[in-house]
Amino acid sequence: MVELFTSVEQAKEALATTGYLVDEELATVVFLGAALGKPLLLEGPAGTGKTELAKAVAAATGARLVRLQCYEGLDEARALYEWNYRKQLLRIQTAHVDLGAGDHGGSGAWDEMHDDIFSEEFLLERPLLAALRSTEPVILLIDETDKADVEVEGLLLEILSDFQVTVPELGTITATQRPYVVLTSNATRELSEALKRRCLHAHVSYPEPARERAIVRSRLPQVSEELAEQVVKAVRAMRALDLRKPPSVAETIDWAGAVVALGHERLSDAIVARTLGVVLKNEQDKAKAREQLRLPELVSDG
Amino acid sequence: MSTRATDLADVVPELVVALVARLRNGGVPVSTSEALDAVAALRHVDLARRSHMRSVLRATLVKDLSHEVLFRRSFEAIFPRLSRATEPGAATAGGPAAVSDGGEDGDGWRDSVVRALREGEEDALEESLGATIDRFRGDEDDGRSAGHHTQRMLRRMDVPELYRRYLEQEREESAGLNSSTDAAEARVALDQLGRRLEDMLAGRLREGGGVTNQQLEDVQDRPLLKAGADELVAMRMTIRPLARRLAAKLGVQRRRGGRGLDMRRTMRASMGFGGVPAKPVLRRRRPSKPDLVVLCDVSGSTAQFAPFTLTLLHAVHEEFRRVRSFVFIDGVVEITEILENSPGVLDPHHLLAKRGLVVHDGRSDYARALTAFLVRWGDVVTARTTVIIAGDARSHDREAATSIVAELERRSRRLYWLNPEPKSEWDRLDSRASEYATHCTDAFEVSTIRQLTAAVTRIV
Repeated sequence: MVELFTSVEQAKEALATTGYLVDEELATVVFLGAALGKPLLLEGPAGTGKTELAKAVAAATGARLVRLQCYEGLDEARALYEWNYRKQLLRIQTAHVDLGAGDHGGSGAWDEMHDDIFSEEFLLERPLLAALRSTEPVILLIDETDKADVEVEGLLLEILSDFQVTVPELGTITATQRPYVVLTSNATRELSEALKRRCLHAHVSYPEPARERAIVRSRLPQVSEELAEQVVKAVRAMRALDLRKPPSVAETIDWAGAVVALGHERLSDAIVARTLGVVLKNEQDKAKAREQLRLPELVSDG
Repeated sequence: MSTRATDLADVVPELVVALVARLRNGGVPVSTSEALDAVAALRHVDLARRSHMRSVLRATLVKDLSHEVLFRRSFEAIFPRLSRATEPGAATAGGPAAVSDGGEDGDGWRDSVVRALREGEEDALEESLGATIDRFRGDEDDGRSAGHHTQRMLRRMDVPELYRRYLEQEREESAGLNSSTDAAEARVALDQLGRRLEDMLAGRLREGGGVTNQQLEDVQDRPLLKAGADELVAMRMTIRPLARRLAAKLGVQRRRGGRGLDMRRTMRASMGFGGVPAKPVLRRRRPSKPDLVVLCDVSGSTAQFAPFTLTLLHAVHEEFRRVRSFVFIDGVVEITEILENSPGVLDPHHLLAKRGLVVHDGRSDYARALTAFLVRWGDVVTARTTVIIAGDARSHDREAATSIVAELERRSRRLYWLNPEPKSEWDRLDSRASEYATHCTDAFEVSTIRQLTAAVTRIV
């Protein structure tokens, strides 16, 4: 494992330079992931910046980011490696033509061909293998792990504990250097105990007000301190409402941006009503927010 | 732990072991390798920083959010705050609040609590709460639960006053934004305060005398009918994600379908590969989607339990063709629409205002309510319907509903009974649980959220 961070504080600062602000708890986990060489498992509601964190770590350390997006039906061929079937076929066919022109044949040619079509050239690297074989420092992001099937978890177990994988035709490939692994999950499904055991676990929730304000300001310097505070406050009130889709951090930033783009420097009730669609994207949620936060109806506005 | 003052690095393994033992006692599966990880990880951080230590231990030992509370409490118990352990009195004597003795009810501590809350700084909040606890400390070893102590402490802290101050500070800083926004935030913040306080108090409580078990118990395992107001809040918070997870799980099961190779479709798929069956196609199960009718007793004795049942069942509505929900006491009303329009857990008191629910004296009457149901909505129950009755099956010495339950069973495809009382109390006094159960496809004891989830999974 390459030294990515030297201390908790340094990790925090390094991430901050990329515009990603972490609290101490998350900074500790990020640092430990590097120090112990253990994968990070980030769980939490959608829109709290779990995926963003992996990107920020990559940006802060200058490492390459390899991303494996999980989905239902993801299999080994898409996650690990695959033989380039078409290219192999092409190779065999051209060999046939060559053979037809020449005069020799037999088992020697077959062995040669066999070794040839199962070589590097015909291997299609998928994210997991790419991360293992990379010679430069690499951040491996396994996104939405809970969406993948249980079989994939089994595959991950093998890779995350030994950092090696066996390709029958090529032999065992061991990581030249351990990739820094980040797994994210929205907890729609319990991940297996075995997988959790191998990881450092962090629950990523919405940032506290001061941090969220800082995030908005660092992403959008044109937003005034006052506006950032108002937006963050309103968003937090919405999150407390038990909505179908509570506003994410990205939506907070979008909202602040939208208000500024409309040429306003403060958040008044009328502006909230007009720009509500930026934060809430569900009619029922909007109605609920309007009612409970006593926002005026859009109609009364104009 | 008096060892705290000596060289911490030497005792780290022992402390970790003690913490792990406590966690395991509470039902958190901590493996040895995780404990080793924790010790290894602690070598990399500054042990003088309590918050760092806590983050490290949480990340390495606790991998499930539902164990979070237990972890925080165990941590408080094993690693008490330094200021208290080494220099007792320092926290109290040093703070500006402690000097005044109740008479003028010094302001300092209140403001510092509110400030810490507003800024959301964990350490500062802990510090000020610690001082507050020291200030108002009563006898914590009287065998009551942490929840009880928390409520008492909150009363002494005068929550309305805190609330007012919170809003006041808020106004000073930002003039004029929607005051309802502020109020909502203040409520959230004070809820947080309560939870934090409970954790800290629980950590200080002495073990033993049943207290441990009570405070270590997972919310999911606490009896629903006996839950206090604070516990109900915690339960409400667990049920939403739980319902979502359940729905996702069942959805996957349904999509997966059955086993076995579908030969015909495999052959057809193989055409694209020159007859090589490269893509085996599995036979798909066509699940039947029954209608679901839920009948929930919301009379005084079971009112607390009904909302959880309804929330969970509505979360899995995709598994059914149509879900219709009714609540009854001695009358019966349909609430399908209310449930569909309001996400989140229902407020039972809200329901009680519905007309037609109470016809007689407000004690549940199964015979009358179920008869009324059959008369008015009888055609809802067909051979495709799964009926779930949720209630304690207590007759209050009225006519038994046995024949009507039997009638429901005859008409429906399946009939289930969910009883919030523990099995040991079935058939005691006026309960007719077993009598009714004989007419049901199955009857479940659902006194905790965990049992409720299990029962719903079985039914679906």
